[in-house]
Amino acid sequence: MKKRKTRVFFTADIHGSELCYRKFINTPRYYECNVILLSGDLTGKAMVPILNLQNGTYEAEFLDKKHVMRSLEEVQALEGQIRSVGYYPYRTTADELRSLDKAAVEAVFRKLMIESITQWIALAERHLKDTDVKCYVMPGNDDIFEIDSTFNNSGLVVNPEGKAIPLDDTHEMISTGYTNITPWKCPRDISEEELAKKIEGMVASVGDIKNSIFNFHCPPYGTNLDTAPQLDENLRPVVKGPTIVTTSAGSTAVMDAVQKYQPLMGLHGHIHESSGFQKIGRTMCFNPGSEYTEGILRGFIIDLDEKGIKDFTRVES
Amino acid sequence: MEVLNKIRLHYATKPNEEIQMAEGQRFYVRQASGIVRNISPLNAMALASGCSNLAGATAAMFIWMPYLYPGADLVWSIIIAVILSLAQGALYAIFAASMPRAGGDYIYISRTLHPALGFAGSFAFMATMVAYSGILCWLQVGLLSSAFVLLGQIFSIKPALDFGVWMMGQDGLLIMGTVMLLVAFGTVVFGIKTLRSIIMMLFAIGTVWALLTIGILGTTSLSTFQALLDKFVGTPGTYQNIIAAAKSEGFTTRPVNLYDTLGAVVLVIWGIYGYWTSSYYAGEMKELRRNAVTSILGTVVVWGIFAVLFAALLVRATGFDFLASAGYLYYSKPDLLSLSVPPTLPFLEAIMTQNVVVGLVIAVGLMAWSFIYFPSYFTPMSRVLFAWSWDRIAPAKFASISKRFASPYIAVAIIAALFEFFLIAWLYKPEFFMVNLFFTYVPLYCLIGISGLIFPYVKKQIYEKSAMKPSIAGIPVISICGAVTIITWLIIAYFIMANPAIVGEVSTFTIVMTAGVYLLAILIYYIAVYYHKSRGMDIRLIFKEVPPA
Repeated sequence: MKKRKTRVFFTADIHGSELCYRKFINTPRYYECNVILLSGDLTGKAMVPILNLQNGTYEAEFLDKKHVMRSLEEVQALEGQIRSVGYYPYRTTADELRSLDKAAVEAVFRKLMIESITQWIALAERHLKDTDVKCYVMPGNDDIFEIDSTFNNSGLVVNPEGKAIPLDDTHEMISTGYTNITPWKCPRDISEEELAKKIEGMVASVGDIKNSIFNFHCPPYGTNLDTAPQLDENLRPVVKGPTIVTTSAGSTAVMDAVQKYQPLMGLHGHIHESSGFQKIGRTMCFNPGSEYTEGILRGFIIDLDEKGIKDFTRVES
Repeated sequence: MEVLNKIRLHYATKPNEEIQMAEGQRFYVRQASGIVRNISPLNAMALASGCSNLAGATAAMFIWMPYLYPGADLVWSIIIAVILSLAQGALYAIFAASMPRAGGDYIYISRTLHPALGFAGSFAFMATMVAYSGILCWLQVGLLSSAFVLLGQIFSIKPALDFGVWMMGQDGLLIMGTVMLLVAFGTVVFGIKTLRSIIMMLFAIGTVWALLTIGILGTTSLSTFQALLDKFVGTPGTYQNIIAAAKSEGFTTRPVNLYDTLGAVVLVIWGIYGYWTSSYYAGEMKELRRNAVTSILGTVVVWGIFAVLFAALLVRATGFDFLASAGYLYYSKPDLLSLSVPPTLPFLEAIMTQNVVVGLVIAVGLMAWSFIYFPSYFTPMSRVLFAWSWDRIAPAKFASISKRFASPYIAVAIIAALFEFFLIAWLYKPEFFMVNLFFTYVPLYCLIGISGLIFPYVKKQIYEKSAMKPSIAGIPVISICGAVTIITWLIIAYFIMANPAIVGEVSTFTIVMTAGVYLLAILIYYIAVYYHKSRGMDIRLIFKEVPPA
């Protein structure tokens, strides 16, 4: 295959799925990309206790099934399955489990998330160390702040949050994993005004805005990239007759910025159901969607040259 | 179940409340975006029923079945069809539970078999659906027509009656079909909220229609129907004359037999078609996806229960011989049928309805079903065009969204225009239709059947993660359902080929044309591959497996 100027593989929203992450760091070998980008929502949402019954057996409930394990190998195999769907396995005992209060559970979650991201960074460093691949991994609105420091010691895996980063001689990328306020009030949910201010601060440091890339986790408001089911006060999708009622969940600040500055492209995630691409003026915006629970890595391969986007395709694995 | 109950307890809290852990809890969920409650089974069934239009499906079924298979046991035909449909429904449901954001059979086939086959299947689906638009219009306008006939009769308003009859003529079908397409277009594209709200209300009334229909059919005796029919036509002895006219042309019914009963199953499957295209939505907690599986199957069962009741009560009220004879005359010798309207279920029901209030509700219910139908098809069909566009097989423009209305206006406009074109063609140039339409579906559903059959083995990684992987004697249920689906559609193919009256002759030319549709699609796919490859991008990468590092 001909050597391209810059081939980007972009994905988002893997939510702790180690299987998706391992595929992500392997994409350069199969897609021949020299820039890989994992933008937002890195950490998982659930924890599965694996009880040590102290008699040589372990027990866990996973995917509605009770698992009884009689060796550490079996435990490790189940832990691998748990991690692959984005959950965190947690070895514990019945006594400890009973003693866990709300604060303790949160502390366990924090510990597991930090450990997971640390291991992921080490994995990428081992796998990509002899390549010239640029690897960017950015926390999203769902991710706690405590994981940010795990990137500090890595020379290979870069967190692009808040920075203007040159991808090549022509294209600069600015990034933020913050989003507008969601019903779940996640760690990096901020108001539209705050998000707009953040974006303006980054734009000011970009040299060539027309060839820039807006890597904003939240998609622009009112597009086919931000359509989500409307939820009632109990977080249940609203159904009216034969249709699910949908709403736009994207950001007006992002939309305003895209419309005002018209960068080359926008890379987004956040709304798993709204995969696709859409042109806003001259800006091509992408959202790969997500099927992380199935272990399917969704993304876009985008070829860039001096003139702009040469071609692109969605991919799934 | 204890775990599920605990999870439901979580979801009962407000978003910013802390999750409480109960003793013995085995699963912890943190405050994270995307955690939603599952939609209720009732809501999921409502989603499915939009496509599997009960009134539209059963409208002509009860004259087609006895006319084409005059020895069929209608009730058993429906039961067998429902059982076979449950197998196909389970296949789709397990696919949907395993890959809820996949996007339907286009993706299931593409991922499991080959993207060229996935595209070919979806292309055949689209081609057949738009080519069917004339028949769909006939069915839907027929519901509206029967509503006006009913209103004209119970309120003694002759213009309403005449209007209802006029609608079923060539010009009436064209004008009313176009009106319904425009209404559907407006609903989907312009998002006219008021219109949508009205349609939602009509959907509820449409459900009431089904219950009232059972009441009407159940309380009308054969002798009462004969008298009402005479009164409607204005000629005594109409009932006997219809049967006699058919007999004089050589048509008679025959004793109930297995062959006719199985043949009639094909027509029921055609009627129930579409229940799997529900806009099923699944949250991200894999444990809670079972509801959708039972809901899709529940839709089939509920549809089947209504259809069985309709069949049994209609035969009791009107007689099998009459239904068969009226159907025969309507389709083969319309000049000998002394009825100004098609003898479909809605019209027969309109003739039987004597109570003004009940009649009004039934009329509104029929209107409701007629207006729900096209929007229910526009949405999944526009999604197919989107999928082609996202996979770079169709122009990116197909996926354009109107900024003002936030709707897929180009995709829906293309579909609406094609519907209108084929409606006109079907009405004025029926010889234009060279392809036996229903036969085109056979390869598509055999492909989905094969996909289901081998899915647990070729996509083990995805299947093993599924929250729904039932098995019987160690064989995955999805594989069993895949095999049943293949067999079902091969049986359908056999009956279509054996009886040209069903959907037209299946000649060598038909088979060549059907193959041509699929081969054309494969050609289009590889042209797209070649085009993008010339620009340095191999779109076959879309489904290339990347192993984990």
